[in-house]
Amino acid sequence: MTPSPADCRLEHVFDIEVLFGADRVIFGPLPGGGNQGYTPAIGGTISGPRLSGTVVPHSGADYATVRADGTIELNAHYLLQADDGTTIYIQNKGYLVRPLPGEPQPSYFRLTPYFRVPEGPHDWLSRTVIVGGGERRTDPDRSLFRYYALV
Amino acid sequence: MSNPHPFLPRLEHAFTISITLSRPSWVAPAARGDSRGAIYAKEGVVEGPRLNGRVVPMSGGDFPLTRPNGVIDFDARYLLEADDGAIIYLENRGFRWARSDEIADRMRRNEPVGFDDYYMRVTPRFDAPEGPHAWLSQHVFVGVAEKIPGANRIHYFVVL
Repeated sequence: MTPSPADCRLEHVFDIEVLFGADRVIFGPLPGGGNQGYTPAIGGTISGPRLSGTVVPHSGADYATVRADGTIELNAHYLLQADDGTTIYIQNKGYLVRPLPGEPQPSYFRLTPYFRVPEGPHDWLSRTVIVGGGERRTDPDRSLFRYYALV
Repeated sequence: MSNPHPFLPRLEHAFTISITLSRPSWVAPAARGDSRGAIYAKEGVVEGPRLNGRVVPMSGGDFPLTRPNGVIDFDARYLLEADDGAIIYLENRGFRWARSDEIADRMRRNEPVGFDDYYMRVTPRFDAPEGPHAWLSQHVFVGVAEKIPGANRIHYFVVL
């Protein structure tokens, strides 16, 4: 088999808009270098062809590490509630590289989430590799994530 | 959502890792309903436009969980040695499942199956030293895997 991106087609599955609280914290330096962040997820919405619902308010946070090399390692945990009432745990891991001078958006902002979900209509989330891209938005402070399943 | 989202991911083939595996051991934890496997990476080759080298023999392996519904949840860690001598740590999460019960039985017996008969995809992360390989620790990757009896071959793509 000749590897090519055609072997791993991406299919848009849903978008998540996460609203962040003002009570964020960053502290350090840590023994290994870098700083520890805390950014609470206070709510949000999910929309798209494969999942719709809400981010459960105050169900978690991004515990990102700001590394010594300036790259931010994202590590967010929170809960989603699908429109049918199913509760879904999401762990959102990835990298954010700060914007270049004069640019509004991070120069790199990509994620691979991991889900825990009961058996049922949403259990495909717990057996599918998913990648996401993010964008920062202000007023109110939030991030938009667009997710694609690797099919 | 109020604003259109401009994110369009681009996947670019970075390298392919071919690896031979030890015989698996299995533990059925009393605490849970799944089974923990242990499979060691015997040896392997890394080839591609962005990285060439080898898998460091006996540097690790996969400790997957097999769920009662047959989905395998990977948790692999091992080392790569690039052609320039750099040692790179690889951590792999992902899933494998057969597209039918019959295929699942054949895979359990370690028999050959077609690439389209199963889903095997991973998301690796890397710890790489400063220098030409540092980009590995700053990018998200996905891998599309081929299961071969006693071995596997994973094509890695950087998500741009």
